[in-house]
Order: sequence, then C-alpha cells, then structure tokens
Amino acid sequence: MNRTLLAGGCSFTFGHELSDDNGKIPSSKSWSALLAKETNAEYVCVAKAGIGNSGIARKLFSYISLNPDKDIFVTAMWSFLSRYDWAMPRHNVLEGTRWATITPWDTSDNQAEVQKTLSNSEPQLEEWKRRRENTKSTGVGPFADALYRHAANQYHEAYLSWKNIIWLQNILEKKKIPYMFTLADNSLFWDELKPLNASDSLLNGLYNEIDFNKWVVFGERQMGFNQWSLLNEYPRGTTHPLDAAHADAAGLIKDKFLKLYNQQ
Amino acid sequence: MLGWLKSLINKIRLERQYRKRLKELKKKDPFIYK
Repeated sequence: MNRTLLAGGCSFTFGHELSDDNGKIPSSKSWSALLAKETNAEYVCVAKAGIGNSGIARKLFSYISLNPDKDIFVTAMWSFLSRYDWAMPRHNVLEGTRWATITPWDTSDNQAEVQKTLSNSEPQLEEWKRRRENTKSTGVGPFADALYRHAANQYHEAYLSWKNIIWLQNILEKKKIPYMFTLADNSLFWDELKPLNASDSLLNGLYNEIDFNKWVVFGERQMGFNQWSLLNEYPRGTTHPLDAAHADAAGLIKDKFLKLYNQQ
Repeated sequence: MLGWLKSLINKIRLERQYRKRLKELKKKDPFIYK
C-alpha cells in the first residue's frame, strides 16, 4: 500500500497565492506537496487558511482517527500563537458547522487597515467582506472583540499551542505514526530575543516534553519558514511567499525529512 | 467628586492599551484572513 503524506498547517502549507492556488484545492507546489512528490507518497493536505495550532492538531488528529488502516507520515507547519480554534454554537458557515478560527483580524475596527493592505487584490477584498459578514452572523466577531480585549495573552497562547503540539506528538508516538514538525514563525517559542520557556516552570516543563529531534527549523533561534523567506527576500504575493520559496524550503529540509520518512 | 473623572481616565487608558496590544498582534501575524 502506498504511504500517505498527511500535511497540516495554515496558508503556508495550503499554498495560498502560489501559482496553482485557486483557494479551494491545496496547492501542489507548497513545501509539503513537493516533499510528497520526492517519495511518491499520496498527498493529503488538511491545512486551512488562517488556522491556529489547536486547529492544526485537531484536523490532523481527525484525519488519523478516521483512517486507522492507512500508512501515514505526518508533517505539520505550526502557525502563529495568537490564533484560536473554537467550537462555536452550530452554524452552517462554520467548518463542520461548528469550528471557528479566531484571529486578531476578526476584531472590529479593522476596515481602514484591511482596505489599505488588500487594495491591490479585489478577490481578497471580496473574501474579506464575506468573512466579515460571517463573523457577525456566527457570533465570532463579538467573541473575538471580547477575547482579545479581556483574555488573550502570549503566556496562555504559548501554553495552549505547546499543549496541542505535545498532544498530537504523543498520539503519533503511541500509534507509531512517523512525523516531522516545522514552524512558520519563531514567535511560537520566542518573544523577540527571550525564550518563552523561561517564563516559568510550567512552560519550561511543557517545552521539555516537545521532541525537537523530529523538528526542522530554518535558522537560528528556531527561525520559521515565513521569516526565512523574508530574510532571503523571496518574491511575495500580497502577503505570502511564492513558489520559489516553497521549492527552496523543500530542498532545504529534504534530507531531514527523508531520514524521518524512511525510519522504521 | 472626581470619581467619574478617574473612571473615564482609566477607561481611556485601558482602551489605549488594548489598541496597542492588538496592533502588535497584527504586526506579528499580518495574514488578514489567510
């Protein structure tokens, strides 16, 4: 049976703005799709635009639990800390009628800023308007306002993200499913030059549970894919690195990936 | 007597802190809906 490469992540793994992106089907030119081609694996991508780390772990686990007989290799590119995954009261525009991704951009009073950033992309602006309407009808908008105003903070977000990473890691280990993790941005582990695990013994304890032997990073201080692409001045679309960055990133992590992929 | 003024100043201070925090978060994660 052919092995399946199951990829989880946010827009960087979905491949938004890549040359074959149509917004519906995951790109075949993303870093993870290119790694799947290296090994002739069947490529399954459960990445979703804007999703946070709880959502990435949830979607990967969901696929694994529904496909217990498949021979799977998992890749995950973990995303930004400040994104939340929440099972809302049911609504037909939510993922699976239940799940919402909540980001700082879902708060109100963003209009001027968004218009300016997306002014060159009419489709993205349209998508933004549609999303704004949905946040009103689902309750995500008011919830985002309350969440970011009163409750959201870096400590809790690191705690949640790391807990989800460890949760998935331990499930994969238990089920003997091989995997490789990487990250989009080192704010997952760092506050500028300060390591987040130095915050207190709880975060340090969680950090020590993460098996970094199965991780690939893009430079010093656990640099992420997006930071690496900015540092090396790869061409970008409206907000994302384009095909060349993905091709070079796949080349950069290929050796470690193949080592983990071929491990028994 | 100046309670209402203190409360107003506190409200403005909290609002400014919130907006600053939100601005920093958006700078760190500039991906508007993707």
